[in-house]
Amino acid sequence: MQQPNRLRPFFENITFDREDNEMIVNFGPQHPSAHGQLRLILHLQQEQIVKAHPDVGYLHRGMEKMGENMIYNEFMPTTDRMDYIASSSNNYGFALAVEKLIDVTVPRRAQVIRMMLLEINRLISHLFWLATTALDIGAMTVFLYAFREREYLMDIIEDYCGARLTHAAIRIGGVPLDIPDNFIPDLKDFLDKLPANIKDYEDLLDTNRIWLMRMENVGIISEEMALSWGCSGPMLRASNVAWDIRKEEPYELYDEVEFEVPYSDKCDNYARYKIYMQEMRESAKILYQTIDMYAETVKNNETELMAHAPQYISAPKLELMTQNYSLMQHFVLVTQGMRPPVGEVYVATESPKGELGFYINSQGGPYPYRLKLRAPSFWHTGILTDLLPGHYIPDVVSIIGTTNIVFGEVDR
Amino acid sequence: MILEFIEKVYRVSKALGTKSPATEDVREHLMHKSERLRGEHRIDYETCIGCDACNKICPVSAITMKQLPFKKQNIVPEVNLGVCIFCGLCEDVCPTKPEKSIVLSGGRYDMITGGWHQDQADFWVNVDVPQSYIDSRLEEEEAARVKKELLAKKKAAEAALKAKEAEVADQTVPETEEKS
Repeated sequence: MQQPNRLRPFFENITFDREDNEMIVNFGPQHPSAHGQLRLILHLQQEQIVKAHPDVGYLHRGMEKMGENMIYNEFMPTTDRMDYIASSSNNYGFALAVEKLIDVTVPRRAQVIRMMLLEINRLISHLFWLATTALDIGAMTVFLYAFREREYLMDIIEDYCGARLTHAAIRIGGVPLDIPDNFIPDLKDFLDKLPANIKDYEDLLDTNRIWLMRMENVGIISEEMALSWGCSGPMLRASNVAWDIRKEEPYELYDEVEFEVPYSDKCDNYARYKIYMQEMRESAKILYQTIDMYAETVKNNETELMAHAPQYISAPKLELMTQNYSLMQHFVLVTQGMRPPVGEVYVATESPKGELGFYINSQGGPYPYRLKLRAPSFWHTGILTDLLPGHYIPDVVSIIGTTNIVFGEVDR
Repeated sequence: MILEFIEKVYRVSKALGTKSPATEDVREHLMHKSERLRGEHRIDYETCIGCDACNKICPVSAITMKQLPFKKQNIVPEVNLGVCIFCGLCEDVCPTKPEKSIVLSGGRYDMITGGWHQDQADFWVNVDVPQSYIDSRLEEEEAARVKKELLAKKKAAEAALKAKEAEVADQTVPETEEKS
């Protein structure tokens, strides 16, 4: 066997042929098909993989420790940098955890806006997944089409919060801004075109021979394996488990909207691809319903965007301008930070990648005593150890693609 | 037939007349320009109350406070754009009225597209407070101080007068009692 730390070309290695012919290949950390900074150490028997070892940590920033040295509001832009494809869903997960801790209820209008942002982020993330995976396997057209659609959505998000990738669009206790005037017409325009666009992608890919060879019966994750490795989200749903946190433990207004949880018993890459496409349709369905809900809040004249909890959350601008005591409280909250009660909380949300959980242990101080981020991609990287052996090198790319791992989230 | 020909000629002439979108300079005209685009900060030194909130909330410590030669409201934020992550928290916490005195939304974006920065110092949003403003503020403070002093003197004089009157009253009261 070769020594991993002293790699020599195999033709120079005399003992290589004489012994077990096992070659070690480093896949990454800058392989164009690997997602970000993934380093895979692959043990090869000819072209077949006998052992795979994902080596993570090349993008580690120590976010959990950063969070323990920041006040709660200050940490919000840092969560953007976790899953940077769909940053509002991370913002939301953290905000929801802190809201559970301090026990505030968010106004309905803010909830509707949050749901819109979450579903737009899900669409962005799934379109990005489709684009990059198709490009990895060699379909340039789908990449360009999907990126074009993603660009429309990014423009809509930019109209809302002013940033394209790192939104910081959600605050603890609500949202900072109301949606602009052209937001809903733009969104409706996009959603009307979306079914035709998804059909375009499916027409291009569903019967494509190269796509089918890399997708069908490749990367099979059985139900038991998926559960034991802690998979969640589309990975779990492709393995015949209809588990969606939006349905099982509804947060926000997800119990008021109608949508289905697509799942499949095929367990392979193709099933995962199908589930991503189906989820985009479901997201569009939810977005249509949230548009109606927003119109309802406008009709009922519910204009509040931030929760009312003067001990934890700054008062709205109008109150700051008129009442001296609110202004003083605002300064205290900004300079010293809110002090949630002693306690611990774990909140899981369904991010586009899977179960995104935030665990906060508060000792009553302005900083969290312990902050743990449960990112779905981390567990989906771990399963590669079990999943890759037995497959061939060209399939590695498609398997990594369908796991949809993002390294901002794995390393944190 | 002739109609078709005329239509074609019209279409071609129209196409020749319009400017190609490829010739447009994206540094000045973005494809999509949002009103809320978080760009370069604009700082209004006249409305800023120097409360230090933006400096405190900044998660990357991109803001430093510039000292001005007044006694009150004497600090103004300055932003290092090389460090700034454009999260918008400083704008969020600014309490001034009626407009926020540190604003990112709708700011300049051409530091991203390039062109105007030559060295590191250009990545700073500096506040150039004109001498006339400093002078007027100092004068105002001086006037306020003088007014306050005068007021204090006046008050003191009034108090002394009152004390005297009270003394006189104390002396006069028994007299009146005697008269009655």
